[in-house]
Amino acid sequence: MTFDARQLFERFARAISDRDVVTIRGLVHPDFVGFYPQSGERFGSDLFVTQLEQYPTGPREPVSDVPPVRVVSDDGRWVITPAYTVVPLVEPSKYTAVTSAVYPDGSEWHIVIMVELREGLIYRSDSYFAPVLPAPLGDSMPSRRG
Amino acid sequence: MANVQDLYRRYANAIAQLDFATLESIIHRDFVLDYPQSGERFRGFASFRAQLENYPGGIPAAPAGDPTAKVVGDDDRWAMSPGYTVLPLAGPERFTSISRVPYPDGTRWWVVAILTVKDDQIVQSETYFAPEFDPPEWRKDMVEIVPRD
Repeated sequence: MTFDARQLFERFARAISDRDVVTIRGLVHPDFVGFYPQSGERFGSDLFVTQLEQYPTGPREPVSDVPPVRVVSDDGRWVITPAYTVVPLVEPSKYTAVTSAVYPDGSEWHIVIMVELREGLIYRSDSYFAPVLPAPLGDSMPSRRG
Repeated sequence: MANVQDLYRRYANAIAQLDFATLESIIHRDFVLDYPQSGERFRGFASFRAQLENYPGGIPAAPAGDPTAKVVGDDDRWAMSPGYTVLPLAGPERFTSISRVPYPDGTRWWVVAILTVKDDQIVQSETYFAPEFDPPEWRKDMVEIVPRD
């Protein structure tokens, strides 16, 4: 099994950025449910597309650079059998994807998405939106800005 | 490999209770804590402890047994051998924890941490803080609103 979750999420991110609803519909499962825990909003695939189409930014050109998507828990996994053969593992179905976005007002946000796949499509997504913040502790603590 | 549910529970409780003896036993010597939103990086247990001890108003922490707290990516994993036997796999090296914490000013934030385990200890944490917000007016009739409490 050579399923590439990162490639799937990058296509998804690009399609959202471009508002390419045809591609989006091709990447989400028919029973897709998206959830924004911060606001309690929950929606299916049709409402997800409607929401993107009506997002209040006005007409705009697709952006050329979509922030990279980092996928956690997609490491290739394998196991050594008692006979010392290496066996690839069944792919995981749940991933954490991390990306970022710049909103129309210029603010920068990190987006962390818990995604569950089914049949190679996005079946569930819980999205968290985290704003870029100033370091509250300044230089008084033994930390450093990365 | 440690059970990540148990490891995370001990980690979260030790932070909430400022139980530094337990916390130090869970933290790997190469521990690094990143807050990507602010660019802060804490290296080692002493740095992490100093932050917890000096947090203005007391460290915000999810109450014990918080039903919103969960761990993602800890599924039991298995492989099928050429002899068609099922082999259990060691636990995951990385998992994601989600909890909701109250802050001293009364606001509540979701805390999402991507944690890496090494030698049965937490060696890296990449933590994001996401504030609650009201559903935007323009789309509130398009979605189902799930009560947050």
